[in-house]
Order: sequence, then structure tokens, then C-alpha cells
Amino acid sequence: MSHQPFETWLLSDEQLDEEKRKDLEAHLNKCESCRELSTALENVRETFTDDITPAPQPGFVYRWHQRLSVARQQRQQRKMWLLTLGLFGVASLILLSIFLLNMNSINWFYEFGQVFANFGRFANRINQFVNIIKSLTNQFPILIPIMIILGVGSISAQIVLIVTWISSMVRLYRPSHEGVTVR
Amino acid sequence: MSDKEALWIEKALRGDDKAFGNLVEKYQKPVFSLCYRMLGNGNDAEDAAQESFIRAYHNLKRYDSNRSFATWLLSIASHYCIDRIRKRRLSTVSTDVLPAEIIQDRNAPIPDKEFRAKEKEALIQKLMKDLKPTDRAAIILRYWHDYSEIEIAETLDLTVSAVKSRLYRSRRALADAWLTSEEAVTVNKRRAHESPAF
Repeated sequence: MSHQPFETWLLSDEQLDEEKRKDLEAHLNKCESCRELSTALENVRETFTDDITPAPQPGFVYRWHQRLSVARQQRQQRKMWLLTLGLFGVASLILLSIFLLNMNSINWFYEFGQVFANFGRFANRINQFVNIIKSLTNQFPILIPIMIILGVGSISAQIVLIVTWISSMVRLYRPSHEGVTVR
Repeated sequence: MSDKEALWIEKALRGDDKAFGNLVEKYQKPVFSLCYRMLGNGNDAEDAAQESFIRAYHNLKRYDSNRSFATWLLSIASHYCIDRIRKRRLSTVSTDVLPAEIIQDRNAPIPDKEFRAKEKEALIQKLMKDLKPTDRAAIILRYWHDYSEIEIAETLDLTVSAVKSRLYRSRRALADAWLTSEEAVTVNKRRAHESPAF
């Protein structure tokens, strides 16, 4: 027995006109397979059309605000890291391109020696500076407190600068809570 | 979309979280319900519904005000749940965990009614467990959200003919699942008892 088009009518859930409906009823009376299908579909529909609605626990909106706050923090952190990586990448590219452009003209042994030579010259300058300070303090002992004040002042200024820089970096990377309203 | 909703969206676009919170309040149930039917348990549904609203908030600029806001939200939730099911390769859905809260639309819940509701929920999940994620979403939108085939197509980014074909295939699968389930036997027995003897 052919089940078409009756099976298609049942499964497509379309609105049938009077003639088709009668044809279907007549077919269902004599075809057990299609009758089973029709009954099963009717039962499924009944099961699915219920009067209960799953609902979230109370406080869903409050939890959403909290989650939004966390999501915002994560997005900001991601942005900052991407910015840092981007800047690092650009800087690396610039350095690499400079290096590649000058690669042929670099004399490696000479450049390596120059680094040591420069370090020696720098140490020598420092030594000369210390000697000048020593001779000055020997001749003018009154300069000693002034130099101590200047030395401590400059070191303190450097420490303040470093602390300011670190704190500004920490603030920059720390996610802000601006605009978050949590009820 | 009501004027109030349009105003909330406008405010949310300007960064007013509280205004979007009003939209969350209004649509939490349909979104949660969809996620629950898709994922089969309260915890996953809560997480998916929350995430859907977060995504909606972050993509609010892309919302076309000519479309229904509810459809747009359910579209986000459906796609998120479909991805989630695919990622986790859920071959079976847990029926042990029941919804966080079942709201009875009629009278106050009585234990027997609650028990039957749980049984029914387990049966629903059992019937749908073998459906593909997109087919499952189409069936949920059709039966629980009363969406037309055109609306389902719009929500799931499918053509209307694809929706028709998916619904057709899913109904066949659901009918087969029903016929092989114990429930079918119970219902048939019950009907046999109810029917007058000829």
C-alpha cells in the first residue's frame, strides 16, 4: 500500500482542505502504519504543548549585571594585552628591518670589541668624576653636606619616577569598573 | 517593539547597563526556556542564557530595529546553544537535572503535579536527544515559541525550505522516538482501559 501523499501531509503539519482531510481519514482507517504515525505525532504535539515554563532562579538580572562586569574586565584586559603585543610586534619589526638593512655593513668582531671599549671608557669617566668629587671635598669640606643633599635628592627623584611609572602601568592594566551598575 | 523597549535599547546603546537590564528582565524567561530545552538542564541553561544576553549587549549596535528584538535575542541564544552542543559533542542530554524553577501558569504546584511535570520534562528530553542541534532549535521554536516557518528561518539563518525540510525530518524522528519509548506503551495501555468495550 502506498503511504504517499498521506505521510507527507502528516509530517509537514500543513493545514489540509476538506477534500484532503477526508482522503487522509479514509487512508488512516485502513492503513495501520500511517495511523501509528498520526497517533505518535499527536502524542508528541500534546507532550510539547504544555502549561509549564522553565524559568531561571530569582536574581537573574542581578547575576547578569555581575557577569557583564566580569566580561567587561576581561575584554579590557584582552585589549590591553593585544595593544602591548601589537606595540611589541611593531617595535620588533622596526628593529628587525633596521638590522636586516644594515646586516651587510656590520663588522661583528669590531662591533663586539666596541661594546667592551665603550664600557671601559664609561668606567674611566666615572672614576675621574669620583676623583674630582674627592679633591673638591678635600679642599672645600663645606661642600660635603650639599653633595649629600644633592645625591640623596637625585636618588629619591629617581625612585619617585620609577614608582610613578610602575603605578601608572598597574592602573593602565587594571580593569576599570566605570559604568557598571550592580543592583 | 514597544516605545519603552526602543527607549531601553537607545539608552543601552549609549552605555546604560540598567536600561539593558530592563530588557534582560523582560526576556529572561523565553531565552532561559529556549536554552533549557536546547541543553536539557538548569545549570547549563542559566549559563547559556546569561552568555546570550552578554553577547546581545556587546552586539547591540548590529541590531536592526526593523526586526523583532525577541527574534534577534532568540537567534543569538539558539546559535550559542547549537555551538555549545556541537563543541561538547553531547550525544546524550542529561535528564537527571531538572529546571531551576518550574513556573506553573495555573494553580500553585502540588507534589503530584510537580512529579508529573518532572516526568514530562524527562520524556521531552528523551524524545529530543537524538535530534541534531539545529533541528532541535527549529522544533523548540515551532512548538514552544509558536514561531512560523518564516520566523524560524529568520532566527536560525536558514531558508524557509530548509526549515520545512528540517521540521519534516525532525517530526519523523520524534514520532519514531515516541513509538519506541515506554511512554507510548503506557499511553496505549491507558487508552485501552479508557476505551469502551465493543
